[in-house]
Amino acid sequence: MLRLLSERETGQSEPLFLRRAETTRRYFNLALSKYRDVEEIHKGSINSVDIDTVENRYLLSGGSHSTIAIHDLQTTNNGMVQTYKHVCQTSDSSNCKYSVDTVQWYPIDTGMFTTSGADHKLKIWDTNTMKVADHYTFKSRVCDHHMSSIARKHCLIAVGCEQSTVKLVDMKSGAATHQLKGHTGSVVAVRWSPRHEFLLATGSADSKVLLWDIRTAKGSLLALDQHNRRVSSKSGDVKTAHDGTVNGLQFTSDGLFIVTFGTDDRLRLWNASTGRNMLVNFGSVFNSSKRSLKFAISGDGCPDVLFIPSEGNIQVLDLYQGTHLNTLHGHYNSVNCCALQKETHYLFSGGADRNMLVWIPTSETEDYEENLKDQSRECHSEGSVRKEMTATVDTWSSDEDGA
Amino acid sequence: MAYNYVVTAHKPTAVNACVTGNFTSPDDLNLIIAKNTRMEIYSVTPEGLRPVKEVGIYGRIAVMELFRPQGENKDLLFVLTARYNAMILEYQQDGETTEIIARAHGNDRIGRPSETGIIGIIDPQCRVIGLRLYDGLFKVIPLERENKELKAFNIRLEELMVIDMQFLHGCATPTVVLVHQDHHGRHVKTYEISLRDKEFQKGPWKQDNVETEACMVIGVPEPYGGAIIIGQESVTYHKGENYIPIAPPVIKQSALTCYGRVDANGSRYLLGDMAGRLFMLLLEREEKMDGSHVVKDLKVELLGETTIAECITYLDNGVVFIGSRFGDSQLVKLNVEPDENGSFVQIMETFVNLGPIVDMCVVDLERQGQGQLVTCSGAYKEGSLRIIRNGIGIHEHASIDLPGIKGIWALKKNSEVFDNLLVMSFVGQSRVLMLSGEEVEETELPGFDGDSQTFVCINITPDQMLQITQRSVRLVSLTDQGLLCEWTIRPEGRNISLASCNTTQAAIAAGSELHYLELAPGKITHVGHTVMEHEIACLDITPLKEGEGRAQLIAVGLWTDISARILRLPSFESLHVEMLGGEIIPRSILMSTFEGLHYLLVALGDGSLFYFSLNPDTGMLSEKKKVTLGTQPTVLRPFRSLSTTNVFACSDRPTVVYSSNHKLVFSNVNLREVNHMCPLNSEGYQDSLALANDSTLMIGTIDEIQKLHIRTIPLGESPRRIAYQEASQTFGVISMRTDISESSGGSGAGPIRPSASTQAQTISSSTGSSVAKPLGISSASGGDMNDFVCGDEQEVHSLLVIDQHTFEALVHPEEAEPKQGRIIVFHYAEGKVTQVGEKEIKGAAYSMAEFNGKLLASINSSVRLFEWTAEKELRLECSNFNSIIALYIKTKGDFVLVGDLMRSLTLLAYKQREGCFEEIARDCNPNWMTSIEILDDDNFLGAENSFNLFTCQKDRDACDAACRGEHYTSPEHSAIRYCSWSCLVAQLPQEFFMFLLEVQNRLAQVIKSVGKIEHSFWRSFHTERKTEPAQGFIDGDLIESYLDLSRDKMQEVVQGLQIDDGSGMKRDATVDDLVKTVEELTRIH
Repeated sequence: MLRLLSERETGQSEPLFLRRAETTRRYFNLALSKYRDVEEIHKGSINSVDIDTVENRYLLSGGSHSTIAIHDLQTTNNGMVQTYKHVCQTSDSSNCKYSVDTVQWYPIDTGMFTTSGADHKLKIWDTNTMKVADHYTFKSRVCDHHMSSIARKHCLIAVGCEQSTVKLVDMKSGAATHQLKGHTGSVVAVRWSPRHEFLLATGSADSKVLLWDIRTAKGSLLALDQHNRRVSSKSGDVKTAHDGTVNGLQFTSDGLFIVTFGTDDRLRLWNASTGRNMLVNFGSVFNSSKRSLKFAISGDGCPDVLFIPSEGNIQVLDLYQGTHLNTLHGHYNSVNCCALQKETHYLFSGGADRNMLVWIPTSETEDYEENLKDQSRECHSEGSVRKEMTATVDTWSSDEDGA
Repeated sequence: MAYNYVVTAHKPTAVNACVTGNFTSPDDLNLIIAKNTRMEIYSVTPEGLRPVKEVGIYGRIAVMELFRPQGENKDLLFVLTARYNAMILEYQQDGETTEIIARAHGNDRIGRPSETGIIGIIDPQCRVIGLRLYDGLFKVIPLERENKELKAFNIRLEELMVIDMQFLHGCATPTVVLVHQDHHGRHVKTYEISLRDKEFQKGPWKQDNVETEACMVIGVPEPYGGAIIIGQESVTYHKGENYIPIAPPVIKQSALTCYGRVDANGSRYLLGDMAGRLFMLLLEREEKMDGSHVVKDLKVELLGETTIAECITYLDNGVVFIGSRFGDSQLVKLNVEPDENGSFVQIMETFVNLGPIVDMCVVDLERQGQGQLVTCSGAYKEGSLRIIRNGIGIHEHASIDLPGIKGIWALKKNSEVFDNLLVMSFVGQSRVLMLSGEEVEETELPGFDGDSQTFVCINITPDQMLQITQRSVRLVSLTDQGLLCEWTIRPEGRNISLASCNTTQAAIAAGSELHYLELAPGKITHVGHTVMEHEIACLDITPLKEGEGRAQLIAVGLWTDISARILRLPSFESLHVEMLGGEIIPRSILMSTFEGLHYLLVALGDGSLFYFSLNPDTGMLSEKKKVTLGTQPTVLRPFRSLSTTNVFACSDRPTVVYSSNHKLVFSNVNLREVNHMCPLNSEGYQDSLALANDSTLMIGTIDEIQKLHIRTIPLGESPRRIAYQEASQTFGVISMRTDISESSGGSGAGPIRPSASTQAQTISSSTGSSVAKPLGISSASGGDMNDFVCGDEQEVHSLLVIDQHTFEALVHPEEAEPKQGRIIVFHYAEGKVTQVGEKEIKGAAYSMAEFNGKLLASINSSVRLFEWTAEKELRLECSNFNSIIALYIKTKGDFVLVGDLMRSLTLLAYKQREGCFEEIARDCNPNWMTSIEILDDDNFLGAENSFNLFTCQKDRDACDAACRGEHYTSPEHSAIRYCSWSCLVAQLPQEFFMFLLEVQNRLAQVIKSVGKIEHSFWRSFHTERKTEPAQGFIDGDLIESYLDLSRDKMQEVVQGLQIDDGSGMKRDATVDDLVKTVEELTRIH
């Protein structure tokens, strides 16, 4: 890194290069933090976490006991040992506790967030009062929902339900009638493209991943075909993205690629504009969850890194080459979701063991431990010095007025 | 809120790109050089490079290419800035403007900027422009003459990591060839661009697995076609099946970085590498039976050594321009025959380049009250120290204590070339001094009136001189024949009050009478006289047309009505009357010609100067401009330096007026006060000036006339850090060198060279001896291994403290933080450097600073304070651990400002009693810092990775520093000092700030920027994460460009602007108010 620093100074390499290299190194070396944790709030397993995109500061989490909590990730003293305190929380006071399956911050500011879950409802919350401002009811359990972060021309929330419907909820008008038909199984994952505000991708239990342009009235744009067949030779041939439920779906930050995760233990990388399977071999990544799985992709490293919750661990994989980089152990039970805090390169994960764990780059932990050792050494030496000093301190009062 | 004023003190000098073509007209050959945000257009003439125009762009120039579409007779210029503003420029014949043909803005916002930078290429048949801005996307701009807006579309690139791209020649549809990398290695591929379908089609050929270091692609023009791939070890020619690789060992040493095409048919190319070597690549061709031409073979030949090239363009006739970013740019000539060293390269001219400035310090070397800047500039073999001084320097050769000098002139007595007499005038008397060699001796001159004050003295012929005193005009023989002729005003006793003369004419003023005399050897003829309306304050009769010797016009300044008038000789016909306004009378007036343009300069008694463009035939004055030079009455004297005309303005702030780029430039001279001067070219003092002030006469030589005077001390290695020790007047400089060793067991050491003060110029060095400890060396790929030694240094007491560490250079992302290092303490005495102490530290000390007599070092993620004990060792006193990597530290009093790698700024306070640090405030924005500075107790300045400046202010109550001002600036600023030079930041009071903000907004509207880039866009704070408008900063460059506007435009800007007239009331501002304000601001630098 010293070389990169000196090259940046002389202008030989772009400053971007140093930033990318450092960032990538940090992502490659994430490990469970011994000194930082998130205050325990949830009484049940944690199903979804999201970090706001505006300040990168608040961690929103939803759990199975219909608890929703917001933690503040910014600390005042910035020391290593921290507990992220919760800012607010809510829980359903009624007896029936429905699981909250998906949570998402409103992309524009932190005044609003949305949740959806097993109570068949999509709820829009006001953060300041922690009260539901609006809600939409559907015929079946809501598996996943997503709001586009770049949308200028629409305020639509895409909702995927168990009854194989994809509904678009318009926040401006309050309508929830626009429906996308095409799936034959429950729609487990929905995502908007970060590049085209009208492009939506949905993954479902019928093993298909469909891409939609929501402006057209026709059906889906195309279906992702894992075999990359040119033309279906037989009618009735179904293009499947996986051989099982597609329960994890994400776009890369530049919107050029889609990553899908299925219960066939496979991860696939797709070209987002042509739908071609890039045929990257990620190996076998265990996936037994029927629920929607939230995973994270780093956007500013080179190469980019995938963090996939798999059983009790999080697998760290190279995005374009598929090589397995690391396995993050720490949860006692299955991991359900993880989210990356972009600027600090920390990973937060939530699991069925009710824990939210923090993963930070090992360099930071190592530095801290080094410093601790030095500090204790200093204290010893200082202690001895101080003893000397106290022995020679003049104890006579020099105050003439006083006694 | 912090209010800051940011201005570029020195224009960028590092060259980014250069192109050659016919831009200004079909017949002119132009060289266009892009320097960061400026474009310089030169015309290539047999005499050399002639500057035509300089254009500023609101953006850092990333791509610049000339192209000629069908049907055009001259080239158009395509420019792309680093923030993705694209424009096509055409040079208009009326010479004043470069017209924008079309513009576009290519910011997609959602892409990942490529690591290999921005690639911009133009189809040889000018059908499309291709841009690779982001990974995985290729932007195509179809070129159509009629369209004003450039409409672009994106094509997906399968290849995510493209190293280089080029268009192929001679293809029916635009075809690109690209070198891309994946985990198998690097490959070459071609694509055809289908404009109709807006996507790529399969190209004519491709090649997998070319050299792993293949980095450049050159498209070969017709009739050969194809492409040349240049790598570190091999050069290959590809055209479909035709594939010719060569691997000349001579290029292996250092990576080839750039190329320039020599012949239009592509048979020769010039290649430059990182070691500054220049090669010629020849394509040997043959004509086949069927008439087609193919390339048979490639040859590479070493031509010689030049500066490290960033871009190479072949001008004409074997002359090549080599633009450099790391060293001085050069104009070289390629000779057919090698010289005695075997080099074919001959350096014709060198252009100074200050960058990249890695470190600098401000010192006052010559104790003149003016700081000088010493910078570590350049890199690799172009590394050097530059001493920069604002203003022109005078080197004193002789000085005589002689109070009361009222005038001074140099004469030749019987001598063709050299002056040998110096006439000095005092109140009531005059003296003549004889110069023989370096000796000065008073002498007698028969006929010379020594009892009166002399107004003018001049040689008529080598043996006759004219002396005009209060009493008379005397023609005196220089061959000791005494007074030849005398003329007095009738009636007798009337005193002459002012006079001006040249070799054939004289003008005398007595009160309001103006007399005109003609001079000939031995004769003074009174031709005519007139009475002016008021008393004459100053006059001038300098001939305007070179070599004529006679003036057609006389310029007169009058009392009472404060006017400057132009009269025709000998009729005294009044050609022009110019009212100067105000109440201060003109004290000196001068007609002069600069760069072929005629000017009239009028200096007033309050130190201000008006200058006009003068038409020598009609006597009309136009384009009145005013500058303030000093506060005392100014005397203007012309002189010649290096065959250019200059004017010396003698006042309490002596200034030299010269012309650059057809504009008058006023540059300070490093002298306190000058009352009179004259040019002196004697045998003992050649090409000198004689300068007189109240008490002394000084003879000295003047430096080259330019605004910033730069002296270079070449080091031959990359200088990294510099520190100045006041006590011994020495500089300590650390420089770095890379040694490549083939096998394990070797390591390179960077010599540390403390060099003595710039006067003494002795350099003593000591090599880091024990560096050769191999730290677990493992060989990287290819068996090559680079060991680096870098360092940082600081002055403490009389000791020089240097940090040094070695580490392995590995490919990222395994590149680890250094874990081990040392701090070495040196003592400098009597020209020798000895090591007196050493301390092992865990990590690298990125930065060190002196802190209350102790050493403060930032080591990896902690900031530590060391004390230098009497036992000659560094004892750790206390530490603070709170950063990712503490890269930069600055101290002020008891406060320490720490700049982190990615966590912005932190402020620590040292608690004296407890002996520890306490964190006072922290900025929570995730900024990747490149440099920091403390402005005052509450305000701090930081520069971050994406070339932005921001300020933080300490909140009194809260424990954090809020980011208050943001501003986008241009690179080359890796070091900031409080009075930093390449980009100066100064603080302003609030009201003044609001006023300037208003001015800035108006200027942004009035001044049309090239490329129609909004000024607010250019200066907005821009990182990958967010873009915000600039706040809290005033763009000084824009404010100062107000002075360059025409009078009408100035008026337009001032319209409706309110200014505080000092008593708290607001009134409408006038143009002069604003001019005065802006001039004061320019004085900061």
